[in-house]
Amino acid sequence: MPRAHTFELTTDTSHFTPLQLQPRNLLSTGFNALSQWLRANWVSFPDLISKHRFSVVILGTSVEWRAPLKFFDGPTLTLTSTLKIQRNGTRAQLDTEVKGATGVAARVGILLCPVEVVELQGLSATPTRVPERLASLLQPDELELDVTPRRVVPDVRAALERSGKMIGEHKSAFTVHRHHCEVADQWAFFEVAGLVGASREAMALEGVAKQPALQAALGTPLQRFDMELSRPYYWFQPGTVASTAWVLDGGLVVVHRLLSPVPGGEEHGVAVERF
Amino acid sequence: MKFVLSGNLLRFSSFGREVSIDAPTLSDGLSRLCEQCPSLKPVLLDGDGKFRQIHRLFVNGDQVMVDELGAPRGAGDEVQIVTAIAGG
Repeated sequence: MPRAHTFELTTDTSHFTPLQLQPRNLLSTGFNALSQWLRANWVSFPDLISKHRFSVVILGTSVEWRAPLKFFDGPTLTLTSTLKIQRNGTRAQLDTEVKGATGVAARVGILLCPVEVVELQGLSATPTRVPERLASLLQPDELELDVTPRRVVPDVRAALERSGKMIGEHKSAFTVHRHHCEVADQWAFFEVAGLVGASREAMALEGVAKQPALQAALGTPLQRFDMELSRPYYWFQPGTVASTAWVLDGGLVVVHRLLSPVPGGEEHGVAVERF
Repeated sequence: MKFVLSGNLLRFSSFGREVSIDAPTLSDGLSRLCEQCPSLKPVLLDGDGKFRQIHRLFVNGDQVMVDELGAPRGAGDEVQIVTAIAGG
């Protein structure tokens, strides 16, 4: 069995919306679960970077909400995580189960790309595979080298193009400031959930009078949140969330493209919220 | 030429986002940029003084590869340096 790390989190009101566990907070806690797993089972995150010149960057995330759970259901969450190295050592997948008083409330997945930290001051890095000296510290069943992680976002977008009906669109501009960032002055991936949520809420509030289906974007719990990231944003970079709302098979789906004018490619990532 | 810095590079340029450098080529410009902002040197250049390929260079919006660093450049060129990946 792959090694699991379990910890208990005492909840506060900021972990929840009135509807469910808050997506940004779930992703943030899921990332902390990675750090805890590393420290308990492999090498602590600071040592991984400073001593081994090795780190991970986030390529994608998924959140699946399961049993309904609200703030007043109980005072704690129990998080259990496993980590597996995949695709010939060029990917790592952290899966975290979040249990509350009503059972498994959410599953959080974080897809990681191993990188070699080339210099420690700016923490600039380049993709790599997990080096043998670090892989040897893992258990055999934590090495799924022939497994390629499944990509959810392209499948959903293809289904929308095929069978969806677009019912709304909206653009929200933002600038990355340090409160959005992590230690390398690049934005922390979990901030995306807040930025795209803000764009979705603005779109729904503007359009709900003409398009009642958009009400689900404000008053219904999210069922899934999936995201793929292709480029980072850094401190002071401007960006735009370009959102479109769709009806697919009777449910609401909101697609958010993360754009910027920084040269090197307009699209930084795509997030999909399903209600 | 005018260098435009952003993101994780700003800490090493005393938070100057634009630095004007008089240089005939990008290679010379990078050297002079690192003389003017010494903290940038280990971030942008490796131990042999070569430009680290973990960063991307764009001149007037077009990406420039390392084998083009010696090409002549004009005083009005705008050079953006963007870090491709940071491992924080």
